[in-house]
Amino acid sequence: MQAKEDVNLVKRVLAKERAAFDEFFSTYFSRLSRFCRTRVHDEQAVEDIVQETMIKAVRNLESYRGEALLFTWLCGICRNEISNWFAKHGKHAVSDLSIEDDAHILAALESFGVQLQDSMADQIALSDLVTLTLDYLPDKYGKALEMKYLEGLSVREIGTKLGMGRLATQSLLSRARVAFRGGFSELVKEANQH
Amino acid sequence: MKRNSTSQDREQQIADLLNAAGPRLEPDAEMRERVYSATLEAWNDLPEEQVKRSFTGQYWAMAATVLLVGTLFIAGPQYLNESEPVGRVLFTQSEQHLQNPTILEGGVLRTGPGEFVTIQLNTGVVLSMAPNSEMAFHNDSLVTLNSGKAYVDAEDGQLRLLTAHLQVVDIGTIYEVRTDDTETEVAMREGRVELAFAGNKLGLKTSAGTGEFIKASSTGDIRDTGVVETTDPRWAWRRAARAPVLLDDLSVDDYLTWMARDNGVELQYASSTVKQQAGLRRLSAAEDANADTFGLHAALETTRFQINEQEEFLWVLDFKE
Repeated sequence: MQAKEDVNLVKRVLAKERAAFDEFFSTYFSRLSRFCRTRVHDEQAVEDIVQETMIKAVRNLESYRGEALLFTWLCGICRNEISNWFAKHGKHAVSDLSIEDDAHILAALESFGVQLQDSMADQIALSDLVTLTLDYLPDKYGKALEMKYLEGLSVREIGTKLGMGRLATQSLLSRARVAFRGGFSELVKEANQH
Repeated sequence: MKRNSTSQDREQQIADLLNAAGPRLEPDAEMRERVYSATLEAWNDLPEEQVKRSFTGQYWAMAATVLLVGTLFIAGPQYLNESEPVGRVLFTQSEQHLQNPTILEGGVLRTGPGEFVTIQLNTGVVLSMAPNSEMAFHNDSLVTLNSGKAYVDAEDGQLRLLTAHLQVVDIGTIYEVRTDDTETEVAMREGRVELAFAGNKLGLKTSAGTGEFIKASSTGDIRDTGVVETTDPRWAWRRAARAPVLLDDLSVDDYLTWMARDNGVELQYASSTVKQQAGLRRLSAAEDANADTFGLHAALETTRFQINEQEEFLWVLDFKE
């Protein structure tokens, strides 16, 4: 369903609807910046790469057919730009990030049915995986989970912020939790394979 | 008991992970501005023919949707087995539809002469359709009113509603849209919507607030604007499409808040004590029977409360003398 919403958004951006362009930018700029920052630790480089990614995406939006989520599609372009940047500057992607070893976190990971491999620690940090998972979720899901578990807001407060009623907010949180668990497990599996 | 515990554990695990990762960081505002400007420039440079092709395609797709509808009432796209539910019917007079109250993505709903229907989308938005209307459900936040009249209560969510002539975007508002081949009219009962016109003025935007109506032609020209009261008789048709109110275990406060919103009036309390007591007093199944008639006074008959209709737009709740 998210992919169909993405297709609709792209159609509206291509139809020169300014509100749609703003929605596109505000939805994906921050996410792409975070995606890029997990791989590149140079602020100027992150800006250059994300800017080039956004411009290329806009120029090639017609080729987006909705086979994947729009964010996935954008990450593909971003990965290419990152590779180009490393090639151009003669550097290699390195990471000094590490997997947390907190017992609670390990228990949570186990309950999610995922196992971290040692090699994964060189690729990406747990915090980045959580952030990526939130970024892959529909915008409202990610926001609702953060409001609930990071800001400690009540269902009513979250509903007010998102312009939703109590029942709709509870339902949204429930769907968001399921989506988070599924998405996080998939990302960890994918990271383990690389 | 065990199920609750597991559910709590799972919630705690998500909380642990999110807290371990910390909040998602927002990029620097100046950087954002620079990237925004550069991307906007690229977007502005998109060739015009790309725009026309895309927009024309959208309307061909819309026309195709209408032509493909073969059944009288709801036609879910049979070729899309993976279609997801976008909402459910809360009220209908159609036996056929009572047996299949789920609305699927891509489904089209039609009402015949004298038929009303009310739908709740997954987002919480409630839509009522007047007789002889047709609506296509693209997903749970995007619909197209192909013809007829719809009443939208978006208190619980956001909806983008399209007609052949314009797009209406709202948050937490109540409004009515009527459309035919030549024009679309939007009347606001509460809140504010943003309107974007199709035709040769695509992109031109305006907004309408409480008590306003706007009539736009197929070319995006605004034909008429005016004022419509929140208690205007034009809203009355929607009552025929309303599902019965179930009062059982609803507080007097919740019931009256809902009724006031539905009737377009403001609700006030004679004192803070009245408000507090109205929040504590629960209505019962016995009082439900009276509610079938939507009789406000009947529903309050066995309680200690009464409504004083002091002005046309104002209800004041007080204790009975």
